Amino acid sequence: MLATDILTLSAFIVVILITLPFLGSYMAKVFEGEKNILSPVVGGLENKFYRLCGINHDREMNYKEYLFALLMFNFLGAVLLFLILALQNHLPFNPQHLNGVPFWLNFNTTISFITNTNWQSYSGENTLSYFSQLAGLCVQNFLSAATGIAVIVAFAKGLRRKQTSEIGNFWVDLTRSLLYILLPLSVIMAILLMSQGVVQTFSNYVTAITLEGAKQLIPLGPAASQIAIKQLGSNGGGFFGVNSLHPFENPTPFSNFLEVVAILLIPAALTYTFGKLVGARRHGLVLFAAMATIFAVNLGISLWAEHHTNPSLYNLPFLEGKDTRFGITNSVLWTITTTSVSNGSVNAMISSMSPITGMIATINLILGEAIFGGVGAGLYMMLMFVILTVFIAGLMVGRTPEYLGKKIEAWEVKLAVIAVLLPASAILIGTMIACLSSLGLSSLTNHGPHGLMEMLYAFASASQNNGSAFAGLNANTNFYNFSLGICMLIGRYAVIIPALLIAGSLGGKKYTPPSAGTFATDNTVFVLLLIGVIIIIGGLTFFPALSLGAIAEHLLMINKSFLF
Amino acid sequence: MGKNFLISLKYLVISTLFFGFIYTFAITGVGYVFFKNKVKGSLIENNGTVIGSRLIQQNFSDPKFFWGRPSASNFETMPSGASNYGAISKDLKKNVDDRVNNIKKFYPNIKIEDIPPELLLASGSGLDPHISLNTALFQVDRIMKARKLPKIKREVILTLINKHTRKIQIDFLGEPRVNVLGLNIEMEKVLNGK
Repeated sequence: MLATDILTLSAFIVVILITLPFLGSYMAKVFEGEKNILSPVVGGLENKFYRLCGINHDREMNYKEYLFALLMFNFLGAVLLFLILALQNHLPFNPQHLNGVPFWLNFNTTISFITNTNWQSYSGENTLSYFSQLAGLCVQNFLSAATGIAVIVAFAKGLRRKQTSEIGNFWVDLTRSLLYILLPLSVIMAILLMSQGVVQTFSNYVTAITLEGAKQLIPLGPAASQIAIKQLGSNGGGFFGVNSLHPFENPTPFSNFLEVVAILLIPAALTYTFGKLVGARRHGLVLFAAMATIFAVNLGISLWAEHHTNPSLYNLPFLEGKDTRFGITNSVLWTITTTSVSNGSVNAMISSMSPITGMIATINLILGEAIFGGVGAGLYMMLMFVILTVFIAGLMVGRTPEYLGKKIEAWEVKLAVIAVLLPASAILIGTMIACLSSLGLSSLTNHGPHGLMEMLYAFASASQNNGSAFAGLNANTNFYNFSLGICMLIGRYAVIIPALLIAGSLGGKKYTPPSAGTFATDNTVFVLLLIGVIIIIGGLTFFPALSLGAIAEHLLMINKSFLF
Repeated sequence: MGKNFLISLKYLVISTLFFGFIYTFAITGVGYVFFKNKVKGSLIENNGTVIGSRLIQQNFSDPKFFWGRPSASNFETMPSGASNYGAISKDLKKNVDDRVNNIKKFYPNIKIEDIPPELLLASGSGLDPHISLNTALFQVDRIMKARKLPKIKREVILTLINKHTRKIQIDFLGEPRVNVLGLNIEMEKVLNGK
């Protein structure tokens, strides 16, 4: 590693740590409905949204109403997106005259963008019109991210409130996330990206005559506006096929730095917001500490592995699948960040990285992206782990399991187990089916242990709503479009529904003031327990699959014994 | 139920208008005012015809040009892509062997560890516009020979490389990198044009 690498990593950490309390407390103010710096600018717009949509913003919802509003909104959003993609050849802004998106690819893409997964088995430049990109995908980039934030806000309110099943108003939480947080940040981000050379135009693709006399079709489009929200909203679906590797999507080291910071910006700050919303800032800090610890360890291991050379390939460095303007360190930083957060954009091809880095990325996914999680999406996963930890720790020391003064009982634990196990089962069962069928195996690029990783990664990415790809897999087949689509649904709603049910249940409970018998959940011991539970649950579930995949691959590589 | 349906519907229409159209058009407007060349793809024109984009690599296989990173998708743009071969892939090794053999045509006795790895391993985007300084310098001998240039012209080429090298950004981001297309265009002009 060079001095610049260390400076880049330090700058990343410093920016995240500095913005965290400011953005975190700003977001808390927004969701409490307090006056904030943007109120004079955005307040009027917010009210206009309520008026035009017929929303009574003073009315509180109980958890059932909240959940129904969310599901209805997501369902109709899916129908609209599906129609836009299917009918794009009849809609404007289609300069390349692209056809409507075929049924199963559309099924997969629609679910993918509604669930904030943004898995893509297509490439934007040869599949989607400008209209589909902006009116379909860009809009869902905003809405699915805001939906995720709304759930975490509702969860926090459930924890804070006493003996009520009301957990806020879905439309209000949604609108505030959109207008006060996602929109202003996206505008700033988009402008900075354009200054670096990200394209933003409605003109036709351009044909160039190259120096050697060949014809080259250069794809264009309104990319900067969509890439801004794609990075900020834990979406990760690229405007172009190769995502943030495409020079029009990520042209310079500075744009790369902005985009990687944007991945972690809101998710990190949300831990602070959560602490403020539940009225116990230390608890937010505990969550952040546990996440940051795992993140740092994963980053360290991956950097170490990736800066080695490949003994099976003439001791060459791991530069296959990486672009020169980023180099190894920036590529690893991005990979670990995008898999910890449920973002899923890539700036290097994970499939061609060292087996250890590929394994760490996979582990990040299968831990449910509890480490930072997405905009909303991972923090509530983390809280499921918190509930399990409180429960397990309570059993070990014989104390009543409590979190923030709320008793954790059988119902909450059952729901948390569902939220953790259903996506995990979807990963393993999906991978198993793919391994056993020619439909699954015929899509592989690599064989042997790496082929297993391609399938495991795809199902993990879909089931945990990440959306990044190990990319060797040709996922645009009916089999994968269907099975990964189902996994994305499970991964999103098998967590959101239990999370809101827990919020409702906790909100209805009495507050028990802490006593000498309470198991403390805001100290270092708890941080370590939480990390332990995450690693044990994630590790035990997936160790067999990983040892047949990445670990076997690593051993073969260093022994130079066999190529597949 | 019915009420949620109606609100959802209105909300979707309004947010499609607002976050789809108004937002995208506003950003496009800002881009056209302040970064016109960049948002239109950093295109390079010569006598009214587009000869490429500063950010999109072209296929250079002629020994008289600087070569960029190999492209797994053979510089296809619709879409571009990477090999995605893993660390113990036979196919990756075969690709590397082929590239080594191609380079040996120009440097018959070279050992593999002396070839810049960037010329042996394909980029991730398939369109990587840059190479590192070392990779550019490595190619100077080949280019001199292919163009049958006298030794004194070496300085000219080195100056051009230097001119098309982007320094480290804001003092800590990235490594110095050479824009291959920009360099080749100017080299053509300087060496042939007068």
